[in-house]
Amino acid sequence: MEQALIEAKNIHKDYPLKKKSLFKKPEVIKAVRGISFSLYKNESLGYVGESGCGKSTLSRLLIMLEKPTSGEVLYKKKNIHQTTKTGMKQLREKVQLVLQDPYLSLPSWMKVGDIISDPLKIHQKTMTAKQRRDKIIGVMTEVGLEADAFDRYPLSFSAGQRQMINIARAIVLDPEIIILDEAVSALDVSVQASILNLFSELKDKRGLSYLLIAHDIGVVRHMCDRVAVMYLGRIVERGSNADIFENPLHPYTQALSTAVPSIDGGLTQKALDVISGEVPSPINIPIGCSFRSRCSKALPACEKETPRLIRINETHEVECHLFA
Amino acid sequence: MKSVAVTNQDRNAKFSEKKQPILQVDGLSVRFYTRRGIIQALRDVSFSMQKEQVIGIVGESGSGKSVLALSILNLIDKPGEIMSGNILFNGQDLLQLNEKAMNAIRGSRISMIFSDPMSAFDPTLPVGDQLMETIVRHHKEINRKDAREMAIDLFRKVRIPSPRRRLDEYPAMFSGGMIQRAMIADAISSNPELIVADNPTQALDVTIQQQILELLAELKRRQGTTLILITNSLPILARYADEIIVLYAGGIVEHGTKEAVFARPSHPYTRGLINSTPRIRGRRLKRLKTIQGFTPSRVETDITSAKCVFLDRCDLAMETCRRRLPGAVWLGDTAIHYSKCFLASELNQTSI
Repeated sequence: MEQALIEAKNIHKDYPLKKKSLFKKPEVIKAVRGISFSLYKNESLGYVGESGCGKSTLSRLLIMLEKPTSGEVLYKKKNIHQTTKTGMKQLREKVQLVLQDPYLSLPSWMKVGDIISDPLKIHQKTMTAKQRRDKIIGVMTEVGLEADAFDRYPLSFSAGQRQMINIARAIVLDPEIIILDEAVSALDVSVQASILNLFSELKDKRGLSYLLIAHDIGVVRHMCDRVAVMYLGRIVERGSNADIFENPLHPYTQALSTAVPSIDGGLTQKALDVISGEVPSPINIPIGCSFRSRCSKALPACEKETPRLIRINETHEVECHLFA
Repeated sequence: MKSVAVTNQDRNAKFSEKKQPILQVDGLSVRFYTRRGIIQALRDVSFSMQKEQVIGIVGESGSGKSVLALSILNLIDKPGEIMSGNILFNGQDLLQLNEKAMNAIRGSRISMIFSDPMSAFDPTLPVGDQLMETIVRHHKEINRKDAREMAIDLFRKVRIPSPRRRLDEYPAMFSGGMIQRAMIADAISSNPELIVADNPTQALDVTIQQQILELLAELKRRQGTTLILITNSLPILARYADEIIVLYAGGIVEHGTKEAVFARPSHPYTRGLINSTPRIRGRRLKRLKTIQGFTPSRVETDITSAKCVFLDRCDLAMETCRRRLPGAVWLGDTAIHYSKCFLASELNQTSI
């Protein structure tokens, strides 16, 4: 089988809270609770879930902004959290990140050309100014920016164009993997569509792999080859695009895909499966299934035992007692 | 199918056949005077709505959605100005009222739900106190104890669990969904005839978004509230609106029953919006069809320019579109459906 670019093995991330008493152990937020996955070349893997499910912690772990509490992340079989500083620098070249907010993610005092050239200055020290400029103009054209944007400030661009600048900055080092953390969720639909098309083009042309993190299941369905549904730090279901969207098994996945209104079904469809309640606190998560408090199909077993990941077919896995 | 371009008088005649609308907006134009120039935030916006109707207003950022919401409550302040138009609420022109008379309507007969409920509440006071303040304002004779009971009742209505305890908590102790519920409780405390909801679920998670929208739909069924639902999401309107108004660059480009707008979208912009929305059902497309270009800058040099506002982004633009402003073309496929495009009738007949 093909070698995975990134392999995550049972990663956990805890954030201890401030001690309330000298004599007690501090409470812990369990942001990520045992996630394993592989990301292969030229595929896009989607993570979908609501706020607080650990999506963004996951992306921070992958670009080495955080260290996992336990478990390991391998990039081409090397543990990324146990490398030297130079090793880490090399890795960062290959894994890039595009964030959600097109306003906050660009320094307003820098010209677009300088913003895109910073990664080159850090990682490709041998490049001459001329080479850098050519390279930058190249990627700017690739994402659809005019060359005259080079000397302008981010302020003079619309949200969609700013996201293009972000993308140009991400691809200028020719990475293998781009993590898209809600990269289109702040954009208007018509602009969002062109940015999504740009992602598809870049993927085909550059053989990129994406790890796409989003709450909008429409975007995930459109973009991703494989999809994982996260709830409270765990993957509750994962499978191919068709597995998740045509045959969702976990009650949470089902609720997500029927509760969200869609243009096609909206006219006749009634929201039958509105899930009640909210995501419980990630502090002191009780044993058993973490979705049980909101689940309409909860069994007695859901309170006692944490469900295990159950294999439905080659690609499709679900963590739910209903399928045990 | 026959389609005729209709003038304003004709449309008014069409409306007057029905019973008196609860809200009638006629020829509303709003400008903002900024240092960079004049922004025409709304241009000649007209629509009317009947009691217990849900009208959905959809548009992208900068289309004038929020300005429209604020205009209905007569809340446009300097540097903005309502240039022309009438807003008739039960036959009474809100723009002619003095501040005192308007204050008697605002928040009591017409309420508003904002997209950012956290900033609508004062962080230094318990939510219950703020809710009771609204209640006391609308029910002058009420004593504190009854006001509190009423607040508890409202919290129950919007399904906030353990309402008694929640009343004494501060806004920061509420989650995004819960504070939006509290905001809705505040908005319905006076039994308003009309609620204007400006992007009420913008910052919320999908499951919570669903809960809030279902709550609004339920209030409409139970109390017969009329609702203006402003959003940038077409799928939400597909489920919750009766009629849809599509705003682009401050003007209505298409208005129709939701069945008509989704089944036979007749303006290139509406079609573009529908096409660029990623679907959760049906065939997966390799590429989404997009609308070329970006939303135009709203600072205008030539405010009176007579050309189609969508011209620069339209695939179907013709010579006429450059020279004349397209008027409303009534399509006659449902009781109400018009599009401001020279090709409206042709588009109406062409599947998307």
